[in-house]
Amino acid sequence: MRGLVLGLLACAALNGALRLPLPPPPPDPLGIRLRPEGAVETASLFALGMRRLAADLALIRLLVYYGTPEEPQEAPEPRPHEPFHPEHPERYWAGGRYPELGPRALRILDIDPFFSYAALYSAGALAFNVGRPEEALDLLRYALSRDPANVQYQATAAAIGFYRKGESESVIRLLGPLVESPDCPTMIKNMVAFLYKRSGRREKAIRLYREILEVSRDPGYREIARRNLRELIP
Amino acid sequence: MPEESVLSLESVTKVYLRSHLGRSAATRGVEDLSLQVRPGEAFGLLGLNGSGKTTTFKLALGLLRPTAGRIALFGLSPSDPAARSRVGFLPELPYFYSFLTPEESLRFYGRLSGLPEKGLQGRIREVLGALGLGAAGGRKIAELSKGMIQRVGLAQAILHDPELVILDEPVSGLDPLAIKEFRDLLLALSEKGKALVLSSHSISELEKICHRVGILKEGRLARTLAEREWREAPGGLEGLFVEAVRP
Amino acid sequence: MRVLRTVAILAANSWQENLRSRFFLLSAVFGGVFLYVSLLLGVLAVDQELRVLLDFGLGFIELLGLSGALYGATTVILREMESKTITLILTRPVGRGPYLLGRFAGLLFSLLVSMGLMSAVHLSILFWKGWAWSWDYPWALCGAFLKVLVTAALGTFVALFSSSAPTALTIAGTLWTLGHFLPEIRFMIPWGSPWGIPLHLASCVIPDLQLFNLRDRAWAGSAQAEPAVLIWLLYALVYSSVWLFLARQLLRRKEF
Repeated sequence: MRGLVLGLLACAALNGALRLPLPPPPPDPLGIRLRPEGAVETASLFALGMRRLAADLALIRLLVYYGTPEEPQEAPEPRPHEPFHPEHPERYWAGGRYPELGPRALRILDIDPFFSYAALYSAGALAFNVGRPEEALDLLRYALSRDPANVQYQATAAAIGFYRKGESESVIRLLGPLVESPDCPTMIKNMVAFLYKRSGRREKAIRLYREILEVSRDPGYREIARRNLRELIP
Repeated sequence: MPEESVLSLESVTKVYLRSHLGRSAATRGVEDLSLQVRPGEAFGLLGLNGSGKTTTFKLALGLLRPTAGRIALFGLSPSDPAARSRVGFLPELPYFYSFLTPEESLRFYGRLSGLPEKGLQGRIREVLGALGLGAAGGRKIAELSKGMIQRVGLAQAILHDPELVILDEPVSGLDPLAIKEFRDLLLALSEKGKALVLSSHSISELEKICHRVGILKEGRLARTLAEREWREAPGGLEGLFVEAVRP
Repeated sequence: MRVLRTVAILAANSWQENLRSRFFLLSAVFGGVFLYVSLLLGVLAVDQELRVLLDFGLGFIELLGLSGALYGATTVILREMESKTITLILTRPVGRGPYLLGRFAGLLFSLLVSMGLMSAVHLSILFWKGWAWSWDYPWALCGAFLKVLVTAALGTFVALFSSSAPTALTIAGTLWTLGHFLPEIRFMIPWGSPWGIPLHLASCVIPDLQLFNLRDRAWAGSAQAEPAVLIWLLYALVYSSVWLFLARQLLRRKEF
């Protein structure tokens, strides 16, 4: 018994001493807001020490959600399918709203505050596709509160602001460096490529579409890239 | 402690405490047991079931701790690994790893006993051959008969050429031919000067092998007999045993 | 020197047993299944396929390692005691401390090889998918193995303390889970609540397993400091040593 008590005290001392020299741990979620759906799964994965895995699963769910066409009755009015046009993305999506897009993205950031791809993808989708820039900016503000030094969030937020005003050059200037990052979602690359193409920067547009074709696994954007390359390269 | 003893127990008592549902029950394994085994001597322990034979062996080998008394193995405490390096033990039911062959098992135990790698393989073959296990060395333990497992048990007990071999019911469950072969092996060990301590229900076996026999009754050493005594007694060792354990 | 030799012999015997048992076969089967699942999920993750493959693969390698550690640590010595194979070892010049250390080392080695093999398969899949090598990967594995070490040491103690494999598995598994929740326990559960005092006291001695989530820290991004690996290594070694020492004390008192 004496040995057991000594052992427990040794462990307590060890745990206590550990808190001194180490760098501070990652900031705790502000009370993890485990929403009812998937809460058990997330908690179980946390219990197994798989925080990033939980965020990955949440991202997959978000991608499946966003990639699934909404029920026709959810659209404000029926529209024929049109080719994707970044200035009128709602036509491509036939009027879908995806109301859970923002909350799902927030949940991912709750689990993994450093999952910048999820934040940028969702903000991009909200701002440039679904036509809800305010929600996108809210999301980026939240992401910045968890990861204040992230310049990609700052650039994207600024770009959304300029996008709303129709200032394409400013958008290009801000998002241009972002597309070099491996975390940059394909939709933003596609958006920037389109802006390059429209502003006459043919070589840059070709380079970016080729990169999308090489790197992206999204069949929709790969098809867009292929089509644009056929146009740009005679 | 007598310096010439390989094994010495002085006033050893072992009480087993069993707790169940908050209640404790005490059982005496052995009580006030004193005996000495001299070098080269074959000493037998005879007793009814539950008389304390196995308890005595386990105390001698450090598997149990005495409640009272002193035990010395070559003058050292049984918990001292140096003392156990000079002892070989064959339990009543030797349990081996089923995934090993006899040869692999002996290699494992031989290494644990401190045998050097150089010469170990030769020693293993020698012992397996001496015990008639030459052909079975490569078979899995699980495939061997009881008699062969018992031989493997003896093999691991003598592999490191110990000065003292303790055997708990070595011929239990063996057929008559196997019993004779085992007896011959033990006699050969005794002739080489090894000290043997063995227990058995078979009085005739002890008569043929042992120089002295201790009779245990309810954990106490009722009587110690020299060979001459049971040879001269009209009923032999059996008669003396019955007389000693009769209530 | 002799003690080291004894430890090595026992470790080799444990390794041999695991090699011939279904231990590795089951690990390989489970590992294969999980990697296959991760490939499917990677496809669903589209542009984040590599991240998903990385996280799932590392996660399941760790999970299998920890499961093996929990099961092995809570059963290996108890099984030897029940089957009495321990008798022919302890009646030899083998101390109980070296015996314990030898079995523990054998278990760890088996788990290291198992995790290593799964990592090799995982890495081949990652490279095939175009992943670029990062030194964060071996660090993440190192963190996972330190968790395995700590969990195995704790499991060994609990097994000898409880003398029952199912009880030991339950207790050790619970401690493993709580070890991942320590920051949350300290942050979210007030001292005054019904479970506050026992949980906070327990949090003082339960290993902080989140420390070893090096894979979460490694790829966390801009806000993270360099990992204090030496401190974690020291913590894991000292913590494990304390529980192994206590386990040895328990084993010394056991009678067979």
